[in-house]
Order: sequence, then C-alpha cells, then structure tokens
Amino acid sequence: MTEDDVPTEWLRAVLPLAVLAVVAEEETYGYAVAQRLQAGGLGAVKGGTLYPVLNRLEAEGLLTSSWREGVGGPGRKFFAVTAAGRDSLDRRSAAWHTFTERAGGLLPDPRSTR
Amino acid sequence: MTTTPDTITAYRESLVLHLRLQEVPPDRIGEIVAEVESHVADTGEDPTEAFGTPRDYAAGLTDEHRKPPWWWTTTTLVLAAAAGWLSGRGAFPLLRAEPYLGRSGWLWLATGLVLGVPPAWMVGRRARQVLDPRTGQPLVATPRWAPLVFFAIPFAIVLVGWVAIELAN
Repeated sequence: MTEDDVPTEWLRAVLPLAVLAVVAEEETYGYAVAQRLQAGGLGAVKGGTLYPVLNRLEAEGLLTSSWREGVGGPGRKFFAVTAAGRDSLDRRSAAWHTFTERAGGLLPDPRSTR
Repeated sequence: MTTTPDTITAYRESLVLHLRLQEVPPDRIGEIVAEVESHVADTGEDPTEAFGTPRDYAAGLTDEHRKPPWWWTTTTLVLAAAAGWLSGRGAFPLLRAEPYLGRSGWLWLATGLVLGVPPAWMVGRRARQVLDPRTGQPLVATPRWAPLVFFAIPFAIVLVGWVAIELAN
C-alpha cells in the first residue's frame, strides 16, 4: 500500500466534511466539486458517490441548491453553504483535527522512526 | 466508452422506473435524474460508469428515501377494493332498475365513490408526472390515455357483467 492509496472507509468518513468545505469556499456544482476533491488529493470521486452526499447535506440544511442554465449547455445544479452549514463545518473540522491528532499519537510514524 | 443520446435516454428511462419502484416522490426523481444527466454532460462519462446501473443507484438511495410503511399500501388497496366493489354493487341495480338489499343503487354507488377518494388521491400523488427541474417539462412522456385506462377497466367490467346478465335473461 502506497501513501496515496487509502482505504475507502477513510474516504467515506471524511467525504461529507470535505464536500461541505469545498462548497463553503465558493458556490459551485457537482463536477467542479469532484475536480476540487481530486486536486486536493482525495482521488476521483464518482458521481454515484458524490450526489448522495450533496443531497444529504442539503437535507440536513447545511447546503442549498438551485438550477442554473449553462452557457449553451444543459443546466447545472449549484450548491451554496448555509449559515448552519458554515457553523457545522467549523465545529466538525475542529473535531476532525482533534480526532486525527489523537489517532496519529497512537500510530508509529515511519517518517520519524526511519 | 462512447456516450450517445440513446445511452442517456435509456439510462433515464430505466432510472425513472427504478426510482418509481422505490416509491421516491416524483419531484425528487426529477432532481436525481437531472443531476445524473448534468454530471455526465460535464464529464463525458457513460452514466453507468459514473453512477452504477440504474437499479443499483436507485437502491443505494433508499436510506435517503424510506418507502411508505406496508400498512399505507395495504390501506390504499383495501379502500380501493371496497370502493370498486361498492360502486359495482351500485351500478348493477341501477342498470337493472332494481334495489340491492333494499337500498337504491345510487346509495351503494355514492358510498363506493366516497370511499374511493382517499386511495385515488394516494395513487394520484405517487403517479404524478416526473418533471425536469431544468426545463419544467415532463422527463418521460406519459400517453394521454393512461389515466383513462384506470377508470375504463372497472367501467368495462360492470358493463360486460350487465350485458351478460341481460343476455342470460
């Protein structure tokens, strides 16, 4: 297993938070979110995985969506973060960092121990 | 893999069908289908490659959309059956100009029609057309005669029964 090859459970755990963070950066649509996640190093996220996450975040009131006409193309569904979404992102990000630091403290670090 | 308009249409029709079977509300079906089409228009992917088969994708959305409980469907069926039976029970005496169990056919027919309102509403709500949120147009064309068939079948049964009884006399 290489450093970039992470188990899918890890991705499933962090994906809702990562998607929320991407939409919080700027109002955006599904494909652009997938590209941003890939550029961020999380690998290619399929549409079949991404849209259920976006819809769940919307159902929880953390995002809102609206269809806009594309330039000469089909419409796109744009997602924007709500105030509750921003609040949730702050709290969950803090919790995530605490969690990963604690987990990291239990694990051997091959980079420091050779 | 090349994505043709035919691939998209086939995927759309199959996905609408499977979401209908999961009893997802029609407005949500429109959203889900439009998301798939908008996404593959951006990526150029085959829909099955990006979202899985329509059956699997629809099944995977079940935690988001819970099916109505079994008693909901049962109540609809029982009410619809009672409504159909009472309407038929009323229509026969009316056609033969004689009462049933001492009551006018109109009374049986009216009771049947009143009982039929809730199941007709429940079925109608689930059977609403699926609209494309991008255009407001129907996603899948439904023949105009489709709702007529719904009413024509019980009507035809009563009529055939009446004709049979008249001929026997």
